[in-house]
Amino acid sequence: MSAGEGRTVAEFLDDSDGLAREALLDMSADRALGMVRGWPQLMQSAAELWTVLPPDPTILASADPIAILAAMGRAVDRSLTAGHWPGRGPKDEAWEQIASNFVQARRLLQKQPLASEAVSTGGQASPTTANTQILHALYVAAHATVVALGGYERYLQDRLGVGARRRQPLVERPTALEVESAGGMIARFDAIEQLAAGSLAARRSTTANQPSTRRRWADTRLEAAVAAWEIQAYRTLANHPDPTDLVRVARVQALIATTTVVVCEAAARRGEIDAGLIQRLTPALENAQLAWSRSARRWAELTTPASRTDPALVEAAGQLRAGIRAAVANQTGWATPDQIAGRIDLPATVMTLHRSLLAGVELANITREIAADHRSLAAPARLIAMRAQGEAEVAIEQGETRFEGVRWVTPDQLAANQVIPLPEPARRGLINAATDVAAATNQAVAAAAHLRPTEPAPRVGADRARRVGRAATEREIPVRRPNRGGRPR
Amino acid sequence: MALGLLGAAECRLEVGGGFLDHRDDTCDRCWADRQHGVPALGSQRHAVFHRLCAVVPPVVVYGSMSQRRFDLDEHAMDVDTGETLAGVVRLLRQAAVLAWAAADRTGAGSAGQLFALGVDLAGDQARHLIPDGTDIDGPVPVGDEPASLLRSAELLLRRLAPSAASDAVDDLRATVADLVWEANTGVGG
Repeated sequence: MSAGEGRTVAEFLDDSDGLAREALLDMSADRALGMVRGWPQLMQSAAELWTVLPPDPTILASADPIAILAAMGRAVDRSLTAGHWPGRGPKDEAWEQIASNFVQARRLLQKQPLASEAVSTGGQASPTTANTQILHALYVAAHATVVALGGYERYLQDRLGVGARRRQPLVERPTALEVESAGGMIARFDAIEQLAAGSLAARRSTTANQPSTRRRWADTRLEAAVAAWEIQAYRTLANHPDPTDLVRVARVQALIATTTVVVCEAAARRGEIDAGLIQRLTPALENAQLAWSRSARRWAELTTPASRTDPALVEAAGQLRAGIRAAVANQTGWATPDQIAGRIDLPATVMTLHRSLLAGVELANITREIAADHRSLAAPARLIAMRAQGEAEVAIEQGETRFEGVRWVTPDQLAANQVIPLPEPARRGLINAATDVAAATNQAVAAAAHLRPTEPAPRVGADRARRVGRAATEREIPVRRPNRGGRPR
Repeated sequence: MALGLLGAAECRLEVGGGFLDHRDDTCDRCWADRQHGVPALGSQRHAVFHRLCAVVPPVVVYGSMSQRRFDLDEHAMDVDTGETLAGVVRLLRQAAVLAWAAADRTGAGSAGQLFALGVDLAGDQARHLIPDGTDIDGPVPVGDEPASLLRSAELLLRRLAPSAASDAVDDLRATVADLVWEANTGVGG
């Protein structure tokens, strides 16, 4: 029993939760970089602990939130390994301690003949509450990281402003790129936080009073397909993706955004979610869909006739498409709200799709990194000449002088339309497209952040002014507002 | 299998005792010209030559970001089958291009995305049936409607020799047939 100083599993989990809360109360920008660096290890140990806990009967195995959170943690790790901001360096001690707690709890559980007995302490805990505790610790830790990163971003901006005013040497000032990177990382951790929060809320409502009989076949199918898609998309993008993989990911993400609009509108018409919310959410989701579609078209330019899409990605996309068709489509297009309501549990599906949007933020960031990092990106010379010239002109207009007078393609390459590596300006176009996607998806996530279809809401058109007013006063858009006092409890 | 010339714009394939109408503006004519045993319109019938080619080792394709991670089939594929499937891939990819263009033209919220994604995935499915090293490049199929290109792809798949029709080909055939149905009845049309 004494894998860690004679403590029980529940004590390890309590300690982890406490450490996360303390970090949140600390609100120290100094810890931000260490928190980001320590996150992958923390997340991995949490995922490993999760695997030894007895399965939770209230949660669909394929929709297990920890799998997608673990994939997001690995994505952060890959970014750091690739040298992206903030790069390698010291990790936050509290995060290392939480990771260590999770490791010791796992070892303790593995030694026990019956895991559930080991988790229980004084009749307070059960495997389900252990799962909830892990999720809660992750939620608070992710939120603390967002808060710390927000403080760090402000610190960078202040230094940037002061440096410019005092005409400090450039080497002593933070770069605008660093500020932008911090903002991007905030968005990533915001998505992680919201995913953990959503999973936590779903778990609580499921275990409390939501009858499982309400779940229908199409629901389950769609939820499983969405979860499988997210995980597979991470896997494929982590494993030397071909441009055609990126096209498929972008197209599917665009479809998910559209499906979310359809389901949310149906839910609003049926009075299942706040009608005022839909008015803000729909344009944001449509922007996200269009941004993903533009990104898909850009990546499609890099595909060749011999390109192959990852078969596992194709399979996951096929399942998702089938799930969406079964849930929200009919022979002539999108199904009517009544038809959709007859097929799926609208509030549950809204939450499923909202979680998928969160994963989309991370996928957009990974896409941007692929555009920036993969040295083997190549395309036909004529296309490169056209794209590079266009992007170079844009960059020159923005004050970039490096591209002036540069020829990106030789006449021989042009004549043969040879496949050549992507020059920097053409690569910038892909990066910019991915940045647009990340921003648009992030806005959609922010607009959807308060989708909590747990209480009765009026139908569209009914008492709209009052509801909108309530939304304006009680709800806030959380993106890039790190100091959201007291959200985790 | 017999091919009779019915007119300038239309050919008819006799398959298994029945006839399948086939508009020539949707088929890959250059591909058809190169087929063994499937003469272009007006030409004479040839004997069908089934040749075997061994599958080559993994090939790093220019323009791809990495060596692909597929385990190549160890079985040999009939050259005719390979070329037929390559034609199917080209037809499906062109159909997908048209379907996405239509969906993108509609703007945000288009239900055409579902159909276009289905065509894309069918193209991927077909591509996986062809070993690396098989030349997929070829002329872009003529046609401005996804539905007609899909019908052409379906037609080609039906013409595959029964010996070549593995379960995977059967699955692809069913997928394409579903898409043809979607194109004719739904938003993809």
